Amino acid sequence: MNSLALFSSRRAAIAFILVLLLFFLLLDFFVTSSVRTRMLDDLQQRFNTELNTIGLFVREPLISSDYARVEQFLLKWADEDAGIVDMKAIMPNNFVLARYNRPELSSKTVYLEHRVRFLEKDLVTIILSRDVSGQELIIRNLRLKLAAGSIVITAFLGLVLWGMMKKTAFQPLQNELDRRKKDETVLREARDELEDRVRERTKELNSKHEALQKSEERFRSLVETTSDWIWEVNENAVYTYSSPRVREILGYAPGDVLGKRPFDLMPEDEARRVERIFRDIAASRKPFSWLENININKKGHNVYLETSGVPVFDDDGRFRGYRGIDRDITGRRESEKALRDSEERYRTLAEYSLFGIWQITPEGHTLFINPAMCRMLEIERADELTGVPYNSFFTEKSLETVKEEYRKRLAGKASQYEVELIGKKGRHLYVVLNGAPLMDAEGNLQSLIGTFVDITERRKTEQALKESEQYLRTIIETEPECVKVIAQDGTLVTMNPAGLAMIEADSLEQVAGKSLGHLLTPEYRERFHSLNQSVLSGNRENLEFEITGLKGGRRWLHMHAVPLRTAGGDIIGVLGVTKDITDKKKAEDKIRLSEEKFSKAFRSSPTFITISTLDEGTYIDVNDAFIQASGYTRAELVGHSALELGVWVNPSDRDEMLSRLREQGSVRNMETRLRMKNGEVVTVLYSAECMNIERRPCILSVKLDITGRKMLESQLLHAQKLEAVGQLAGGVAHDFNNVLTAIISNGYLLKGRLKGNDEAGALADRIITLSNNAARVVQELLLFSRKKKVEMSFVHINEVFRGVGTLLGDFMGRGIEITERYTDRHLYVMADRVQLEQVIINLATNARDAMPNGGRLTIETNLAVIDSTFIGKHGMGSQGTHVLLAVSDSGTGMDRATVERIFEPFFTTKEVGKGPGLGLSIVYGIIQQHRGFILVDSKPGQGTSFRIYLPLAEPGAGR
Amino acid sequence: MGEHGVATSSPTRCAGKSVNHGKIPGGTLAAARVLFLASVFVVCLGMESPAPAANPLIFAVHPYLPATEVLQRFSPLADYLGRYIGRPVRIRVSTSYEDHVALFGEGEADIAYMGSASYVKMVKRYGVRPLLARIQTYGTPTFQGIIIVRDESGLLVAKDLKGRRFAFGDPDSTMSCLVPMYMLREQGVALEDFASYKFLSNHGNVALGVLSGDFDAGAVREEIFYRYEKRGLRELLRTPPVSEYLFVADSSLLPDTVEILREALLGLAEKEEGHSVMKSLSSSITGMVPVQDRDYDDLRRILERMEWPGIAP
Repeated sequence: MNSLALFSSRRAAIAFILVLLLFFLLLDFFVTSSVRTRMLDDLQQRFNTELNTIGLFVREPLISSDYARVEQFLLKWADEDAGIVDMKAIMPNNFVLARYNRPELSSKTVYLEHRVRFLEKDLVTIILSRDVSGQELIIRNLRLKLAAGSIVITAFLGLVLWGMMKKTAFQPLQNELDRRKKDETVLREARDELEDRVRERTKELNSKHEALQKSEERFRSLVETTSDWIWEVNENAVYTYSSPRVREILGYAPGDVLGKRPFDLMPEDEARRVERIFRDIAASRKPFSWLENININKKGHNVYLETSGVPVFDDDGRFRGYRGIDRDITGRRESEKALRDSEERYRTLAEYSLFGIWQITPEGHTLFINPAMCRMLEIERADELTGVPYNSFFTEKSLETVKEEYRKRLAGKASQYEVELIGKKGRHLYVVLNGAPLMDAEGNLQSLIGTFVDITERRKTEQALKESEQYLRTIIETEPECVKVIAQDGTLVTMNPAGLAMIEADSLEQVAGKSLGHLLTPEYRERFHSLNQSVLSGNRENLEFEITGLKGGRRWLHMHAVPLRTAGGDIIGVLGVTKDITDKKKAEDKIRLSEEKFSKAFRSSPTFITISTLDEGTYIDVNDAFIQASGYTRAELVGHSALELGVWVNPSDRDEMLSRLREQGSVRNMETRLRMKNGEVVTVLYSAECMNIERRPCILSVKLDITGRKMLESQLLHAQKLEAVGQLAGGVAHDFNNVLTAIISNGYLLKGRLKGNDEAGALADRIITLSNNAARVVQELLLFSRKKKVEMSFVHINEVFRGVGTLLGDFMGRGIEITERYTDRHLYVMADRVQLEQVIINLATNARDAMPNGGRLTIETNLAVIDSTFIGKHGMGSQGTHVLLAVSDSGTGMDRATVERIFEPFFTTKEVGKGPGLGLSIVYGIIQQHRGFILVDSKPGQGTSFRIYLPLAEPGAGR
Repeated sequence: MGEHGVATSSPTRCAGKSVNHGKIPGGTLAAARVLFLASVFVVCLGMESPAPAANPLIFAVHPYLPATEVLQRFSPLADYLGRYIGRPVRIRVSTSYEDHVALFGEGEADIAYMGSASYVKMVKRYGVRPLLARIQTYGTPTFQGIIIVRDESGLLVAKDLKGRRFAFGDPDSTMSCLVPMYMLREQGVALEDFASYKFLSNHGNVALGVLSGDFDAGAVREEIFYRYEKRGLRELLRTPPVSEYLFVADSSLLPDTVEILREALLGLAEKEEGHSVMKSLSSSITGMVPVQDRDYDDLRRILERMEWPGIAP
């Protein structure tokens, strides 16, 4: 009733306060809204005024087109007024004259726009965003204050009103309620206490009864189930109670023993001993325990019992006998005996064992040590160990090993391990230790026992062996040559790093157990196989072969292989030591190739190559080209010197060559002349190098025959000269011809006008005749210079000669015999027949003049094949089949200088007036125009022979 | 006495000042002693009579930009020159190009930064002056004027300008007036062909005037064009290059002073400070190069032709 009223009155109070609070908050809201509106209005007003002022300010410069100033002013203004967030000045054409933007954007802005105008015309529009967050902040603060104030006022007013109401309306009711509640409480407490007491008493009684029952039962089952025999005797030591266990222990029923004395169940001696002891105990009426005695069970064999007892007194305190238990310890007795026997056996074993045996307590004190162990520790007797800690016999490292192994053993991993001991006298000993902890029945560590086997000698041997093996391994590993072992089946057993590098294997695993035969180039595989077989049958072998490495590299290797034998001498594999001889091979190949190249070059070179000694110039070797050109046989040259054979036309050239060789180490392109066996002289470019053959200084000389080239050069020079002269003459002749034509025509005109005056007419005739002569010379010059056109046709060469030949008889005059030798073949040339006839006549004229006292003129035609040899020899001509026309005389002949100039125009050896000296020039010109060439062979007193070669033409081929 | 003075005077300057005293006649000895002691006193107190504050050098700059901007841009240069020469350098911004020429020509400034045309005018009117350096913009010591139009304008060739409103800078400006005006005339567009034209006193006004649509086209130096190009300008024509703006010294300056000023200006590009000084002047300036009067001969010929009847404004 009371709490309900309290609750409803509290609810009324809360509602009351809420209404009050709502009223105040609404009031706050209206107040702040009106303040805010007024503030913003004020601000807007101020900003507009400011903008108006700005507008007024920028109007003037805008009218006077001072835009830059306006822009600068606006930007500066915007920058300095921190309230401006964004400002834009927009011209009437929407061009933004100035733009300002403050990056720290505010969420609360007001937007303003002002248009600057002048005479009804827009000048600029300024658009502005202004930050009013400051004002908002003021409003917010105000609102917060009002809200806080409202809450405080509401709380205060509410509490005051509540207090007043409580005092006047609720207090009397409350007092009545309190009194009733107190009475009720007192009554309830009295009843509760009563109930509790009854409950407790009942519980107590129940539990006592139960305990009694349980105790009885426990005792009975204890007596029944215990393995011990429980008995009671009276003051005369006669059994008054026996538990059923006596049946199992002594074979009697409990009833059988009642009335008997314990001594009745023992052998006689034992009964006497026990009775005496028991009498003393009983006299003192003290409890006794663990009295050992032997009884005889019903079947007649001994049973060992352990007896304990306590005296029994009646209620009056009088001694009434003993109550106790007997425990059968026959099993324990027997096993103790067996243990003793076993211990004895082991002790004997330990005494005579060769192994050291050492038993220590967990604290490290020696329990047992056998003589072998004493020897190891260098002590005489076990008692020498007293006070000596066991660990003083171990090296520090060994101690750690021991501890480590002990931990492992506890974890179930037992092993033998090697440790180092130090004897009492300082001797170091290596032993194999096999240790074990000895535990008691509860699993507590009782002692530690270890057996020690001395392996010092073995260890030393092993160490020496290991060192020697390591030494050998180091040698093999660092050996720069490949060392490998191949098994009998041909597979690789092992290989050192140098070997792996040779076959380009990354590791031994990559190749071990495999045959390496496939790495060899096929032609060596068979030989490699038979080498292995031979070595396996006990021979030592060597082989050079080529391999392709696992990564494709090719190598030449040299392998020396010997049989690998066991200690017993059985061959178990091949031990091979292989050397990389690639570089050597390459060098050899290079030398061989170089020698071969040189030898081939030497033999086959068309230039003359000789090797001769430096001092005497004796030929050691000469090449085929030189043998062929010199006309000597190899035997005539080798072993003889060039000086001796007269090869040097000018022996001083050799001295010069030698001096150049000494100064410059080599001679290059020295021009010199050599004489061949037939006396012919050839011009060569001589180059030489020094070389040593079998430690003798020698000269390797190369001679390039340039005789042909020399001749060609001189012929070319000659032809060019004639060409030049011809062009010159031709040019002059042309002009001259025009002049002569004019003279001749004027001569005729003059002659016509001089009719009647014979003398003067004759003079005019003479002018005409002489001019015509001159014109003919000019024509001939033109012919020479090939400015005159020729009319080509197929011409049978013999016919031309025959035609002219008949004329020649009269022309040559008496005393000159003409021999004509024409070929039987029908040979044609493309030629101007008239001009060819001219050639023959001119040559015949020349021959006649050369034979003033008569002689023989020979004319012949033949077929001639011109090859490179011909061209090389004469320095002119073109390859192919030609027609040869030869005109030879037996006249006075010419010297070399004359021969060289005979084709030049106006060159003559005849007296003045015997012709202009154009005859042979014309011949030259005509033959040139016919793409032929002329050879002249002449010697003073031996006559002259002109040989003309014209290209052979095939009639029909061109038609 | 002289020896005594030497012996007793404190080191440094006292000794130097006392040397002459040895030759002072006996009659003036007492006075000399007083003087000597006074000088010793002054020097030994470390209070040398302060040197009279050096007269500031007046550095005139023509108003090719609004005056505040000119002051902002030239202040680092004035400071630098002041420190270099050991005298304060004070900037004076002329009211107009014409005023600038007159002011410098009549010796009221010691150094002047001049537009090329102003310089030619100045020489013609007042004679040659020692030249210090000319600026190098975008790597060359010459510059060009550009006839600008709005991006969206349909004007494409010179003839299109006929009947349009045109904006010039100062009537004496090289590239916002004289050279472009000459070029336009050469291309057949005379002043009377425009619907209207106006002189807006500086380059910036020309660019903004065209952008704001009050003018259809205008003339500015290239640097100004590049500055306003992104805001909506397009190049219509380009004048031939003319030698750049230059620094001139007044004839009254001592030859040594002139040489130091020249060295200071020409050495700008080699100093770290120089770069910030030049950058302040204009980002287009890449260095200062030597200058000779004949560098302005081409411009001089143009301006002479402008003076022919019918050309000059």
